[in-house]
Amino acid sequence: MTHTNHRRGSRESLTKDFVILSMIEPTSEAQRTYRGPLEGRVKRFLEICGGHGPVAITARAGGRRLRYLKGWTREMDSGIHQASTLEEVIGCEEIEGGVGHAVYTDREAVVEVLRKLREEDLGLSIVVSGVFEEVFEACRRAGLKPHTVNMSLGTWGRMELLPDEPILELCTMCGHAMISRRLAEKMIERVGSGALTPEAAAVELGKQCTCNIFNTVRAAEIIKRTVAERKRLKMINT
Amino acid sequence: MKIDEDKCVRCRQCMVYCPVGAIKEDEDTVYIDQDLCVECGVCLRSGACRVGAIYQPQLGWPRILRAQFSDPLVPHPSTGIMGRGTSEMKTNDVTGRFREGEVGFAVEMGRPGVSTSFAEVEKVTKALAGRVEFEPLNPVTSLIDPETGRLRDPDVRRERVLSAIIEFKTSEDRGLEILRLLKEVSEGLETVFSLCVISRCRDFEIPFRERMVTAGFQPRINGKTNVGLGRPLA
Repeated sequence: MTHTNHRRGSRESLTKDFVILSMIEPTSEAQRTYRGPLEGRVKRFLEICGGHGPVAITARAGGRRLRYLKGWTREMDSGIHQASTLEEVIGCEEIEGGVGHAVYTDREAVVEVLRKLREEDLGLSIVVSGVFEEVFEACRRAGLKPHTVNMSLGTWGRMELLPDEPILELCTMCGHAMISRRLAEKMIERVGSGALTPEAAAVELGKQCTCNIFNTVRAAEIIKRTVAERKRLKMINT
Repeated sequence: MKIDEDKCVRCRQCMVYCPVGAIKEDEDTVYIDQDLCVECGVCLRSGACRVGAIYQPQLGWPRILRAQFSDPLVPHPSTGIMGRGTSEMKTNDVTGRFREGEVGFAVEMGRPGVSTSFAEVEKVTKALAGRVEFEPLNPVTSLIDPETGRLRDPDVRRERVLSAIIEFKTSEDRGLEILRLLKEVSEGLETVFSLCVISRCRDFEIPFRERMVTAGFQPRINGKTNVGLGRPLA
């Protein structure tokens, strides 16, 4: 479960991309029971995260995942992918397990979430994915010290099998690789032809990421940038 | 995954959703290449098929491994949790799985989005066997003999998955040697892997990061940070 690692992009783009994860160790009864029922503590985690403008937030409840993703409305539902509102996720009363996620574009929101989590001492293990300098600064300001890091050494082996960088930037926002490079290409094409807005294209990609850790705001920016760059190259070549 | 030819209207809408390009067409049909399909379930879940032609057949051994390793909504029997690995550093504040002076690795074969056969996974596990401590709870470890790195069931070799994570740890002192070994092994692979290196922090420093940089291995600017809020602390 390294699914929030290996997100690709420029420093400028990655500094607008944070994922906060809560988890408990399945084998630790002490963490499961620390300061009361686990479900109540995860619910509180989601309430805190939900109060600071997440791009995405996810609750596991009643045998399914409640997924709020910025820009996703019910008329965009397809297959098993169903949108939830932010209120539905943070108001959910049937929380299961210790896992919750939230995605942000803004370091200030991460600082505030961490500060609140430290104050409330929920006992959940919390992992923040993002540019280390940004995350460490958020820790400092929230009164925390980083405990352990998971660093990406990138991709090794037959690099020629990988798609172009903008496609990788989009697809690596789902660490389980549920977003096809072909779908990413098609979304860029449809935005380029005016058939779809960048925001709607970002949602169609994000829906495939069942963990709901996809950053639709960042994705729309990548799509816009790629469409503009391809148009510029086409003009030069014609 | 399969497509029911009698239901399929050949609209081709499903084809772009497949992460590994396994949905193909010929003159008469749209079909799923069973060698390439990793049973991730993306095509079925997407709702791209308006006539319900895509279906999940019953999977037996060893093909069931494809779903267990590729579909994050299928719990893996060796861990009981969804996903392809363990809780690794995410709960290290509580487990102490990685102690000071130790370094953890996650070699995620086939990532990002390329996929891998277990024959490729075995190339790496064989090279590592005897040099590292494989994570006992990891799904790949459950398939290999940790002494040799060989797959216990040779029939598993031909199975393809979206990705499979080899997790292990060693001492910081041996960490650089392992990185050099992985570099060498990567040159003989038919696929790619994404590499994670896990290290404890000392205040706001990451001592092993500096050792890697000095040795010519440059970590990316972004990654994951366990902020030490889990309780009770290990």
